[in-house]
Amino acid sequence: MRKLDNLDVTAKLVLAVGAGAAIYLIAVPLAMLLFAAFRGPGDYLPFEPGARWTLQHIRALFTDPVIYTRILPDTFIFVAGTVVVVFAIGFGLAWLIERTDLPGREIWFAFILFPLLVPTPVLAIAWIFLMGPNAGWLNLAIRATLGLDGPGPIDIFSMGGLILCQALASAPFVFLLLSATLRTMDPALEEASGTSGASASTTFCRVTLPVLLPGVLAPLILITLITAEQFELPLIIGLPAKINVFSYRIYFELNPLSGLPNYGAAAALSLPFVVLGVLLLLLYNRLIKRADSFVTMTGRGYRQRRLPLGAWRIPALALATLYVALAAVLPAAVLLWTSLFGYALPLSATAADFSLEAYRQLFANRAFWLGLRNTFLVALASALIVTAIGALLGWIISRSQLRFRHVLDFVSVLSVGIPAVIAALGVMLLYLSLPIGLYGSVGILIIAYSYRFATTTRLARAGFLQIHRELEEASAASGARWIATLRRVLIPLMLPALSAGFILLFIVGVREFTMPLVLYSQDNVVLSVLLWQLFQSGQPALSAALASIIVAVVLPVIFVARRTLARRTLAE
Amino acid sequence: MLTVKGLSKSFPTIEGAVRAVDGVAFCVAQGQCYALLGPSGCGKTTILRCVAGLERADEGSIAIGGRVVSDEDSFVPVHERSIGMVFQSYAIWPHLDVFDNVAYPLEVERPRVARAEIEKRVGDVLALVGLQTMARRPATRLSGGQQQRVALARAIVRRPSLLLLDEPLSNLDARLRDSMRRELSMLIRQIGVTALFVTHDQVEALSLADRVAVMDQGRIVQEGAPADIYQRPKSLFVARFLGAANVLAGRVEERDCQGRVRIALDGGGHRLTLVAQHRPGARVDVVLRPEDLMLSALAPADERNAISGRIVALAFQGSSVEYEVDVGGSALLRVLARPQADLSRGTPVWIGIDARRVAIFDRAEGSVAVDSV
Amino acid sequence: MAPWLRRAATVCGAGAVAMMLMSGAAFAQWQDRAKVTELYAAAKKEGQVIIWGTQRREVDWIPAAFGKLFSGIDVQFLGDNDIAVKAIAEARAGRHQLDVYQSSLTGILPVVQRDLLTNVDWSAFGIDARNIAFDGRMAYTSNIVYTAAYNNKLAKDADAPKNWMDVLDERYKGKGASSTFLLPRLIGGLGLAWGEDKALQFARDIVAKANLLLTRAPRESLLQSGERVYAFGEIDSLIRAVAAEGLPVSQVVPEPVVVGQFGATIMKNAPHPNAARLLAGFLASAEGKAARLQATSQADYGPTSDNEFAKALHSGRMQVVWDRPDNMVAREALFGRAAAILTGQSR
Repeated sequence: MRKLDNLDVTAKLVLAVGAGAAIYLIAVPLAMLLFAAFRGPGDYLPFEPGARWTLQHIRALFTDPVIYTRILPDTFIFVAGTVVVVFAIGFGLAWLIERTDLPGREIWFAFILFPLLVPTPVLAIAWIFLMGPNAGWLNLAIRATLGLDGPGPIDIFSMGGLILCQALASAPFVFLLLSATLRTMDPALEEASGTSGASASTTFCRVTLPVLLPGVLAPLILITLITAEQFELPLIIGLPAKINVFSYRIYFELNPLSGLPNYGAAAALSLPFVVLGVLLLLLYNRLIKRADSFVTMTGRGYRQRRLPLGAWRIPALALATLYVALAAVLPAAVLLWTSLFGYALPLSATAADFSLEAYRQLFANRAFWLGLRNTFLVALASALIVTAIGALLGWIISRSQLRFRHVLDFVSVLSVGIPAVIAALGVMLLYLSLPIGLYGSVGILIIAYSYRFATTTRLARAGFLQIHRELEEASAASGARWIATLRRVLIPLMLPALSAGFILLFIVGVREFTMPLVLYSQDNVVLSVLLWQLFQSGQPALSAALASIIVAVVLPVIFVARRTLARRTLAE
Repeated sequence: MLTVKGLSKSFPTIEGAVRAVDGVAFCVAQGQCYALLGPSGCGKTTILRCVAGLERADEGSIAIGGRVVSDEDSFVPVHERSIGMVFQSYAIWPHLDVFDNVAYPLEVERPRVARAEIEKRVGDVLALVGLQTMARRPATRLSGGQQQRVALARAIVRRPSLLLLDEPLSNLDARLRDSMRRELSMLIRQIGVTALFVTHDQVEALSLADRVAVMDQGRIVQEGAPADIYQRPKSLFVARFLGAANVLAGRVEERDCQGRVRIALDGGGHRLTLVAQHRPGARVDVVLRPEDLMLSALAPADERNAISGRIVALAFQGSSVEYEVDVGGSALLRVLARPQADLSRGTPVWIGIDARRVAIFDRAEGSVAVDSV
Repeated sequence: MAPWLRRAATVCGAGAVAMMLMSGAAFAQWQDRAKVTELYAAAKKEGQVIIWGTQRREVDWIPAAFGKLFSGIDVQFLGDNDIAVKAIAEARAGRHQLDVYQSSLTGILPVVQRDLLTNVDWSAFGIDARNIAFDGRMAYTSNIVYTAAYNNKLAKDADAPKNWMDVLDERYKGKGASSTFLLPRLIGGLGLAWGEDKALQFARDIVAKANLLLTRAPRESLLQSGERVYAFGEIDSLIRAVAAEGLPVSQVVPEPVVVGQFGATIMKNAPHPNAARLLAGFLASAEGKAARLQATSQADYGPTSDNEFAKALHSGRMQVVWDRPDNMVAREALFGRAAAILTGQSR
C-alpha cells in the first residue's frame, strides 16, 4: 500500500482536489436537507426572514396517522414486490446472457438496456396505452382471443400493475449489475463440485448461489433504496390506483397544489430515507467487500464456459422476447406512432393522419437545438467529472493507507441516499447566494448532476482490485511519478471499468429531469425538461417526437456500451 | 484401472474444426501414476476433462475400474464417476473454510455419511497434507501452496478409484514446486491411488510418473517409463521435449559390415562412429545430452568419438558446471560436468561421447522445427 | 339602382366607415397616447423584457404578438410550474431577473404577500377599472372555466353532467379521469358556492365511490384511447385547443360554473421597468387579449368582454363562482384540503 510520503506534491494535490470536490458535492445537498428540515413554518421558504428553527416538521412526520396507516404499508408492499420481480427478471436475463449459449447475445444486451434511455413518464404513458383496463391494446387483444368482457383482465392501475411497471423500468440497471457479478465467477468452482460427486442441482444450491450471494445481494440492496426513491411511476400509475407511497408524499409537499412548496416538510420526510439509506449502504459495503474477496481469490484468466440450453432454448428466447417487447419495443412503437399520427388510434388511422409536422415543428424550434446542445454538454461533462472523482476516490480507498479513506468511502456511498430534488434545491440555494455567476447557467446543472458518484467509485474500486499492485510499483521503480503512473499505467488498465461507469452516467445524465427542472432557466434548458413541458401542456405529437429523437440519439451509445459494459475486466 | 480407446474430439474454430484429440489410446494400471506430457495445445487437458466427464468425446471409449463411463452410446455424468480432481486454479470454494471444503464430497454423498465419520476422515486427510491446524481457516485466507493442499485433500477424501490432476504444480513458485513435488509423490504412493495427471513440465512428469505419454498435436508420440523415454527417444520432438539436448546435423558417409556407420558432422569436420541403421548418404540429426558428454583438457586415447573445441562460456550451478563449447559448427555444444579447476574460458578441450548414449534420427522424419525446453 | 337601395348602401357604407373609424380610433386611442409612446421609446432603449408564466404555452406566443405592435424589444420567456418559488428565491438573493409575471390569482398570492409587485397606472392602456386588482398591481388578462370534457365518439352531450354533484352518479363510475392539479382547484371554487363542508364531503365521496382516475398526466391521451370517456374539471381553452388538433372531444360547463382569473403583474425591482409596463399593458389590452385568444384559445370572460359566453355568465341566468381577490384566500385554503383528501394524504 502506498504511504502518503511516497507521493510527490502534484500527486497529493490531485488527490486532495478529488477528495475535496467529492465532499463538497455531497456536503451541499446534505447540509441543505438538514437545514430545511428544521426550518419552518411551512409557508415560509427555509431561508426567508420570518422562518425559524422548529421541530414542527419532524413532529408532523411522526404524528401523522396517514403515514402509519397508508403510506408505510403501501411503500413496503411496493418496494418489496418490485424488488422481488425486478430481481427475478434481472437475474434471469443476466443468467441467460452471461452463462448460457443464447443466440444473439449482443442484440439482446442492447435491447434490454432500452428502458434506461426513455424518460419514465413516457414509459408510463406507453404502458397505460398497452395495459389500461378499458382500452389497453394488450387487454383488447386478450379479450378478443379469449372472448372475455371488459374491463381487464390486466389492470395497470393496481398494486400489481405498478409493481410490474416499476420492475420493467428498473430491470436494466439490475441486469447490468448482476451480469457483472455472474461474469466474475470461476466455472472451475462448479466443476470441482461435480467431480466431488454433487449433482447439478446440488452444485447450484451449495456452490453457485453461496459464491454469488454477496455479489447478488449488493445490487439488491441498491435497488431497494432506489425503488424507495422512485416517484414518477407511483405518481402516474400509483396515484390513480390510490397507492400512496413515501416518495409521492415528498413530491406532494414539493409540488403542492396550493401555495409554495413546503421544503421543510419534504426535507423532514427525506430524513428517514437518508438514515435508511445509510444503514442499507453500510450493509452493502460489507457485502461488496466479501464479494470482492471471493473474486480475488478465484484468480483471473479463465475461460467462461457456457451452459448449452438445448431444448430450453425456445422458452428462454420467448421470455427474453417478452421482456424486450413489454419494456422496449412496444413503448418505442407507441412513441413513434404518436409522433407521426397524433391522436389517431392504430386500428382506425388512415394515411391522411400521417404527418411529419411534429418533427418539423421541433426542428424549427430554437429551444430544441439549445436543449440538444445543453443535454449533451451537461451529460458529458458531469459524466466526466464523476468518473474522474470516482477513479481518484477508488484509488484512495483501495490503494492508500490514509485513515481518511474510510470517510471518503462512506461519503461516496451516501450520495445514493439523497433524493435528487433535495440535492437540486441545495444547489439552487447555494448558488443564488454566492456571487459566482453560475445560477441559471449550464454550469449549475453540471455541478448538480455530479453528486452521484457512488457507482463509479464502486466500479473503480472493483477495477483496482483486478490490477496487481506490482504493476504500479514497477512503474514507480522505473522512475515515474505518481501522476505519470496514473496516466500511463493505471488509467489504460482501468479503462474498461471506467468506460462502463462513464457510459452509464451519460445515459442517466441525458434522462435526468428532476434536477434540471428545479434549476431551469432560459439558458440551460435540456431536452428532458422540454419533454416534460410539452407533455404537461398536452401536445402529444410533439412530446412523442421529442422522446423519439432522444431515444434515437442515445441508442447508438448503447451499442458502443455493450463493448465496454460487457467486457470482462482485465482477464482477457 | 483406466482404459482409453480411440479417443477423438474436435472443437469448432473460425478456420474450421480443429482436432484437439486425435485417436488417443492408453491404459493406466491400478496404483500407477501416469503422466500426459506435452506443450500447450497438444490436447492433454482435453483428454483429462473427458476422463473426468466435464467434456464429452466425439469418438472413442473410456472405462474406469472396468466400467465404461463414456462411449458412442452412453455417458456417465461427472458426479457419478468415482473420481477426485485437482484443478489448475485449485477451485477452492471461497465461501467455505478448509474443513468444509474438504468435507464437501462426503457431505454430498448419498447414502449419507455419518457426521462422526466425516470428521474423522477429514481430520485424517488434513493430517496427511499437513493442514490439521488450519481446519477452520476461511478459504479466502489461504496461500497458494495451502490452497493446493486443500484441493488435494478434497480430491482424495472419498477414496476415489482415480485421481486426476490438471497441471498440479504449475501455479506454484519454483521453491515450493520442488518441495511439493516430493510431497505429492510420497502422498500418492502412500495412499496407493491410481493417478492421471497432465503437465507441460517434463521434470514434473519424469519425477512423479511411473509411465509417461508424450503428446503432440492431439496424438501420443511416445509412451513408456520415464527413463526409457528420456534415454531412448523415438523422435527429435520427444528428445528435445524431455530435457536439454544438443542437436548436431550430419551426413552418413559409410557403413561397415558390423552395422557401424561413420557420420560426418556439418561444420567443424568432426566424425563419429556409431551403431545405427541409417544408410550412406542419409542426412541425420545426432542428439547428445549434456550430462552424457565427458569434458577434458587432454586428448582422449581413443579419438574415434571425440570432438575438439574451445570453451566459450561457463555457468556455475553448484554441484555442476554447464560449459558452452564451440566445436566449429553453427551452434555451441552444451556440456554438464563436475567443476574442474583447469577448465576455464578459452581453454581448448576434448569432448568425449559415449556411443551408447547417442540418439540418431533421420532428418526427413524428425520434427526438426518444433523446439521444446 | 333603386333609391331605397342606394340609401341603404350609403347607410351601410357610412356605418362601416364609422365602425372602422371608431375601432381605429379605439385602436389609435391607447397606442398613440403620449404616455405610451414615451414608454415605448424608453422601453426600446432597455431593449429587452422578461416574462414568466406557469405554462410554456401561455407565454410562448407573446414575443410574436407583442412584436407586431411594439417592435425592437426582445421578449424572453420562461414557463414552469414552480415560478413562484423562483421569483421569491431570486428576489431574496437580490437577483432580479424577472420583469412581468403572468399567473392566476391564487398563484400570485405568495408573491403579493411578500410585497414583490409594483403598482401601475393601467388606464393609459385603456383598461377598465373592473379589470384591475390589488390596488393596481395586477391587470386581468384572461379567464378559464372548469368543464366536463368527453370523447364524442363514445358519449353525447346529453350524457355529460349538468351539475358538478352529478359526477358522483353511478353512470360515471369508472369512466372518468381528472387532473390532480385542477380538480382540487375546482372543488375550492365549489366550496364558495356550496359551503366548505359539502365541498369537502364531495371530495371524500369522489375518493370513495367514483373510481375516478386521478392523474398528473394529460387526460387527452386517456380520452383519446377510450381508456376513460369523461374528464372532469378540465380547462375550456385547453380542450378547445386539442379539439382543434383533431382529438374527438367536446365539453359542457356544469353548474355551479367555476371561473378562474389570470392576470399580469410587474415586479418591483424589474430590471427593465419601462419595457415591463409596456408589455403588461399590452397583455391586458384588447389587442393582447385578442392575440391570446387566437394563440391559446384562452378567452376573456370579464365584464368588458363582448364574448357570447361571457355575456351569458354575467346575465345572472347561471350560478357562477368568480375568482376574486377577496375570496382568494378562502378558496386556496379549501383546495389545499381537497387536494390532500383526493391524493390520500389525509381523510
